[in-house]
Amino acid sequence: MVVLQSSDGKAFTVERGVAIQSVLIKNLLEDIGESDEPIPLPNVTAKVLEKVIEYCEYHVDDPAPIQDDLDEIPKRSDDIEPRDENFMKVDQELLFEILLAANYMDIKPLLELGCKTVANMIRNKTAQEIRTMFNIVDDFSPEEREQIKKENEWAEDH
Amino acid sequence: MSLSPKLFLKKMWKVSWTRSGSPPESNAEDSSGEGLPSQHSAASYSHELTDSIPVPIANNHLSERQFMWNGNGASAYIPTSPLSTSQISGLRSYMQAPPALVHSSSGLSMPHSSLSPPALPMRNSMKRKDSFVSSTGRAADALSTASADGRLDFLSCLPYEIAMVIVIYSDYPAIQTIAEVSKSWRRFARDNAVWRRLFLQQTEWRTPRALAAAGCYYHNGSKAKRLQYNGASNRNDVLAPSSALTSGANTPRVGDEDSYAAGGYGSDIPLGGATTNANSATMQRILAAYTGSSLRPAIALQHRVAPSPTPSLVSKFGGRLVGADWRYLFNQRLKLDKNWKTGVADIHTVAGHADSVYCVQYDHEKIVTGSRDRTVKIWDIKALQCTRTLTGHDASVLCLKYDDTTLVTGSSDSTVIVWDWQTGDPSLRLTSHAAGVLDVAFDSEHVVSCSKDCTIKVWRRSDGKLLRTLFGHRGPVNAVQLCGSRIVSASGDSLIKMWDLNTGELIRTFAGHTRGLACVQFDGKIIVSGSSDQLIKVWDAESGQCTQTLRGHKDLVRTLHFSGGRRAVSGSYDQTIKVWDIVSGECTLDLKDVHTSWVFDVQFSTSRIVSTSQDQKIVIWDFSKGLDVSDID
Repeated sequence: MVVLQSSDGKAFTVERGVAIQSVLIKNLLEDIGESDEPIPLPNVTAKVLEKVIEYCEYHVDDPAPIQDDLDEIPKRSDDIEPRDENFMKVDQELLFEILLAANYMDIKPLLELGCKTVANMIRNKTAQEIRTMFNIVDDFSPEEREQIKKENEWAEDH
Repeated sequence: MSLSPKLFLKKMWKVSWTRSGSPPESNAEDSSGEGLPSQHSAASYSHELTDSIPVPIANNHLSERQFMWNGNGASAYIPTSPLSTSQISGLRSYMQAPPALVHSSSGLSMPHSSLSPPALPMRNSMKRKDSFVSSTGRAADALSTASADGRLDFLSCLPYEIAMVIVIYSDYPAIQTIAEVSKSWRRFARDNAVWRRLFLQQTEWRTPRALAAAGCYYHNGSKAKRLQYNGASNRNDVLAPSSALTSGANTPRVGDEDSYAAGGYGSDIPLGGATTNANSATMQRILAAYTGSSLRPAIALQHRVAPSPTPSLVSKFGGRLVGADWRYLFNQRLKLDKNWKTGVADIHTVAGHADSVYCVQYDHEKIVTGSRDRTVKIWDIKALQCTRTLTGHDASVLCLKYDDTTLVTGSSDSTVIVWDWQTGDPSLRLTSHAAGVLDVAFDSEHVVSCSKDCTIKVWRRSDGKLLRTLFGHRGPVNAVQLCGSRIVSASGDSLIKMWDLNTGELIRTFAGHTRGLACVQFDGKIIVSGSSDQLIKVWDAESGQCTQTLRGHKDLVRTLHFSGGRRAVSGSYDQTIKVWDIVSGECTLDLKDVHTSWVFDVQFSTSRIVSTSQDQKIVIWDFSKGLDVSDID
């Protein structure tokens, strides 16, 4: 068992197999060996860490991710499993924090899941719908807007 | 087991950079917004680290780190945090060390570094620096306009590399929309890596040239690739003078990034546009939790928005150094596809043979044709002039195939000739067929021919020795294909047969056409066949099932070209040439009223179709009208 400690001091005891889905933790354990001491994660709050652990517990039996050449394999965001999709049904703030935590803890599948989730939020929306969804200000000048329109027309004909 | 600080450090370094590929977390006091980190590769970071930048150290293993980080003796910041001797407290410090480490490496000023002034990356221009100062100012302004309803500008707030993954998971329409959202989002939609990805996702677009463009820096870092923007008028003033282009020929660049900056449009956009978002407060709150900093967003922004003057971007998701402007290539390719759909093509007709032109093959330089006039002619594909005439057959040249070194032809004189490209003379004459040779195929070791005598023969390419004869068809074998160790043949007996090249064993027979077959194509998995029953059929080579029937021709389907992908092109005795989507079964283009007699042979490439006919003409349909296909075809 491995003890992970969140930035706000909460300790989580998890199976080693769950913990080492984080490459950060995995490398750490390889270096320091097994220890009963909690591993501090000063960048992850308890709320987020709980969620991250939940994900890792779901996926503890997943085969190791294939070392793909990311360049050549087409990226799809429509292949999220229903369970993962449900898992990602959280408010934007938490989703954002999960992304940062997945990145910090180096959990590639979770990072990709989070990124796919956001990509799916963006898909099939108009620019205005996206601005509303993410509270973004349209900061283009009329000239810039015209320019972008022209550029996209230039690329049009799809 | 005790922790080796140096080893641990290496691990953390790896984790925080090469593995996660994300920009650093940072401490509040560390970011004055003065330094301008750009998208450095990990390599450039470490370079700066060891060369010039003082590094704050949050731990007690000073000497080792000095060794690692301050090779040239630059001074290090020694923190005031108490030293700890226990392994775990050391661990704690380490867990926090990477952010600080990475942060300092990015060239931001060192708050407590009184011993040595921070080294700023020299290559950042004053212009960019100014942009940053102002954007930082705006960030501060934005902080006061809070909107804490939980909505977050993900792309703008996330570290660039993570945001890029989101964009890379987006499709083409979404990326077009992303460009319209805000200035900050627009930069993602203009990232060359995004377009490279979009382009290469289209498997049918991966022509050898496109792949060469994709890999040109991967394989040869010194080879610069320059693309001219001749497709859009607004790009004209974007182009640097040609002298500038050539003088920088050894510096690969991310085309889009630079060109926009040069054109003024990109430079008009405040680089820190994202900080104007009203939700900075929410973002701020969250990021503070991660870093203990209220200035974390500024760091992320700086990482994201400052394009490196030299493209040192080597992100895990962005791929390799890229020289081609992929958005440009993508658009050219999109237009090319549209021309294929709408039939916009320049049509060139070449006359020169004295009789029917039975067969054709072409490449970027030349067209090679065989005719009933018994000659083989080579034509310059640009000048459309005959550059060479080969004579040797005693009757019609019915079929031909060539590669870089060899040309193989078959004739109604019952022979196959292997020609020497250099001299233009026959180097081998294969004489065993009892009737006209209707089609040929070859690989590095074999020549395969099929004949009106109902047989297929396999010859040794090096010396022309007949290796075996395949019996089985009950009619003339009109077409033959060779792919790997498989021969696929189509016969007047209405059957397709698949054979083992090495043993001559019959593997499978494909039945379904109701009349004789004239042509067949095979890419290793899929067989496409054309018949006198006016149909084209698509077959799964493994299962033997017919997966699609293409209807439209009104006479014998005399010729087909298919080489993987979805597109096939057919030519018929109905005088038309048709383009097909073999998956949907749809005829996407019908080219008629150009040939005035039977179409005998057809070949297509990314941008062209070349066809030959009994009307003695060679017709070139060029779909790249007004487009630059030099890097995609």
